[in-house]
Amino acid sequence: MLVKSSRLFYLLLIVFVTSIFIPKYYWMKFEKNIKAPAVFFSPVIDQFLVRKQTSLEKFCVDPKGKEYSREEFETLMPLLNYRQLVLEDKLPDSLHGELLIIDKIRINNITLKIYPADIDLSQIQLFPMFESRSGRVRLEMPDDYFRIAKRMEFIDCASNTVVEKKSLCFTTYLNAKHFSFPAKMIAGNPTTKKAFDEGYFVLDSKNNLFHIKMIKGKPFCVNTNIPNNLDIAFMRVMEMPLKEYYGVIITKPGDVYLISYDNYKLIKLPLTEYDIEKDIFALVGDQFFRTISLISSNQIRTIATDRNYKIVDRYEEMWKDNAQSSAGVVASYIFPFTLKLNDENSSFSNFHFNFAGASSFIGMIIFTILTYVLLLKRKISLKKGWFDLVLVLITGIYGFIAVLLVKNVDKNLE
Amino acid sequence: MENVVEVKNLTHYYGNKLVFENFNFEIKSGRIFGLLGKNGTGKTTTINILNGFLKPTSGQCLMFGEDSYKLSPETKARVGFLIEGHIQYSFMSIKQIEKFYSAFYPKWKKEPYYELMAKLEVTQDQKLSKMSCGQRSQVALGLILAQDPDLLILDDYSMGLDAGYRRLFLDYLIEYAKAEAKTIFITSHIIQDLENFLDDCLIIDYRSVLVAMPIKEFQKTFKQYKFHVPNPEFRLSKNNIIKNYEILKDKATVYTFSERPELEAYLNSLSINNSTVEEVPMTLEDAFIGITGKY
Amino acid sequence: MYSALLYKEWLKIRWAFFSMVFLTMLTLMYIALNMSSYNEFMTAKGFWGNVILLGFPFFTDIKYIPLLIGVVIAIVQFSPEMNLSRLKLTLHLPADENKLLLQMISLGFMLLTILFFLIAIILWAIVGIYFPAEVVAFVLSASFPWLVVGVASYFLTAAIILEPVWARRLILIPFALGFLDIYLSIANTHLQLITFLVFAAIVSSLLILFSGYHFKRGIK
Repeated sequence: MLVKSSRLFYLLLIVFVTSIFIPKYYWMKFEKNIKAPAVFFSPVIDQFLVRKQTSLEKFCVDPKGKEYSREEFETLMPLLNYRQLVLEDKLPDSLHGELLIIDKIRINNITLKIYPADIDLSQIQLFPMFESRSGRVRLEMPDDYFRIAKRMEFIDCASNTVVEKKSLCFTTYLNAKHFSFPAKMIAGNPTTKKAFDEGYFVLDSKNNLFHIKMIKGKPFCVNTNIPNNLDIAFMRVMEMPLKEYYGVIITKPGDVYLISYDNYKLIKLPLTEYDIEKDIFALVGDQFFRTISLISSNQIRTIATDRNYKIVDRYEEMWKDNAQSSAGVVASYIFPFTLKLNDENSSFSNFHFNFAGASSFIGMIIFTILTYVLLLKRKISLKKGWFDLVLVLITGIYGFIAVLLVKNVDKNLE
Repeated sequence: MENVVEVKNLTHYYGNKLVFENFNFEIKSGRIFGLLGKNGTGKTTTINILNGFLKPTSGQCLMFGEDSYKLSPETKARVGFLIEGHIQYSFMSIKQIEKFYSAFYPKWKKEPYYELMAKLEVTQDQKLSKMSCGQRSQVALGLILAQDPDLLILDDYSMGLDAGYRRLFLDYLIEYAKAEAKTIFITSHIIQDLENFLDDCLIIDYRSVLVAMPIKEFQKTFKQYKFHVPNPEFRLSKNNIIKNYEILKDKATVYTFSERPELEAYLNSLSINNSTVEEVPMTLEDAFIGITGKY
Repeated sequence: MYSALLYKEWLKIRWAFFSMVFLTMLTLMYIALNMSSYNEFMTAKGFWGNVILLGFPFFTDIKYIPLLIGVVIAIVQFSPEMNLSRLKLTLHLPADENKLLLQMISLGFMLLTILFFLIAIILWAIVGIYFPAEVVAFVLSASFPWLVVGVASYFLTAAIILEPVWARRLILIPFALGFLDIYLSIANTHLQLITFLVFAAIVSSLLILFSGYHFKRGIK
């Protein structure tokens, strides 16, 4: 019995290891770097421009298939390429009836890209609280880090002890603002390399969202009154000179909200079917339009909106990703599933199974038949070999490799 | 008398190489049984099967009535086992190894072990790895004696031992076996030492059993004769009468289990002059070489 | 009987074990020294920023130590058994053979568990000098799979050494390497994965029985 379970464990070990490594090596050999096209919205012709990996002459195409060179692209996207156009003295004076001023262009050019791994992120829950109005040009790292657990605590780096006075001050202030400890989520940009500091957006234990920062050494805390039923998955604070919104909220169902500077009013982006576990969210804005894309491994869905986030145009394109390539089709027959412990869409290691679907049944049946032949050759009766057959039926090639390499236990010798 | 060991139709292959086929023998309680054969004839293979360290290709091997492959702990406790080369845990000292084994055997008697150790010029804290081969053989023997088993299996006890230690080893063993009525299964390639020691013998050659009988009977019935042959080209052949033969120039030597008249009649039929036939007395070693051949 | 067997196993591994404890302590001291040096030269604030915000891995010197310990202890414990088929002596002892094998590896398992627990406690203590609980927890959870892999490497090495047939050994080795690599390649583990890996490491002790079965069957 023990020897049998020992063999069983050996089989499962081989299945476990092969289901990780064989597909890994397979894809190292066959995986192609398939890049999603970049989709732009030209404020000059009010049309999408799609850039794929092509030459400088065929730099991009519009949805009707007309090709543009790089120079043409740059003039069609004058706000994006204003520095190049200024250099060549080609920047138009006005667009859509507005004068083009370089400072205004720069301040209005915004980009935001959120990857699935940003959302599923592991982070040490200690943050530096910057002085938002230090009166200095550059932000400075504070001497302490805070946590928001049973209370808000500042821990001094040099002595690794709680700074009581500051902690008490902030905790009392937060209590007065009806903050409910502990914090569920804390979002901010803990870096000095930003234009200014907006502190942190903190979700309390009752799902109320608070804006907390430090002004001249004193706590600042405001309940944003953002509805507490949003089911927030992710927040990012932007700290953009444009000061249109503080940051972005992504919810678990895949809704995206901007937190505006207008009294934390939420702006819901007109997106549908955003899979936060797989899609890349990209927002590019200029003086006139916002281009918002959801990019998966085989599809890009882009909307262009005006500055009030009303849709003015849509673009969608699909392409064949690696899974749909011939290598992918072959893989779907051979590998009933693949196992990854580290997935690009998450910063956590976990069981990331990928099941191949119906086509893998053929492979599984073939390998089961091969196993049956193998058992016949080894003179193992079905009564003794049923487990091997079931294993191969479930795990296909992995189980077959295991059964092939590990001979059966002689019943008489257990 | 009950059978301590029963070997039935034992056949073993290493891959495609046949080691032996339909091997049968039994060892009766209280007997000293020698398995004799040249190197590579399957002595250690037999012992490995007997101790359950090898699954035979077919056939059965019983020890105290149990299948040797699935010996119960109780039966294993009744079997003392000397591995070829007196292998023991060499990282232990004389004292440590005794302490170790004593925990496993309920009938453990440390006196014979320490008695034997006292004869060696070593301290009790000496590690086995720092001892000579002869000293190690005494440790291994002492441990088996202390275990007080009913059956002792000694695989090539003589390996690496000089004459003194071989004698010491056997003297101790004989004294012990006779006093306690133990069964002993011994293999060796040095035959002369066993002459006055064995009760039964099994002589094997590649793939076959040559002799299986009490040693006294073997020595009494197996004879060597010398005679002149008419010319150097004269050839003999092995058969029921002539078990083995050698011809050197005009002198022939034959080995037989047959009585002298029977042999003479046979030689007569080959027109050999009976007058030159003379019996030559043999030691056990001579007889062993006689039956197995020099090659 | 069990304690006698443990005694025999202990005699084989004690010097290697003490050497490994020494090596571990040296490594931990080195980490502690490094930390004090970072604290001085980066300043505490800089050190915190590097660790908390940038994930500076100041403790990775310990990463391969438990793996190494597992392999070394298994080698010193089991290669004398395979040398001249000494394992026959052990398997001839009047006890169930599978039980004997499991008892043999139970000693290494216990010692490794104690040692790795000690590593965790010392890491906790030295990281706790400079950092608050959040960082200590991060360091411990990041190094936990590296400790567990030591148990797995011990069991798998034992199974590889006890396997009498070279061809089978050569089959087992790459899968064992792949299995161990999994422990060393993961980061930020969820509880369910780490629970599975701890379970898998402990169950890998069973593999030695399959090797022992081949030994007993005499497949050469």
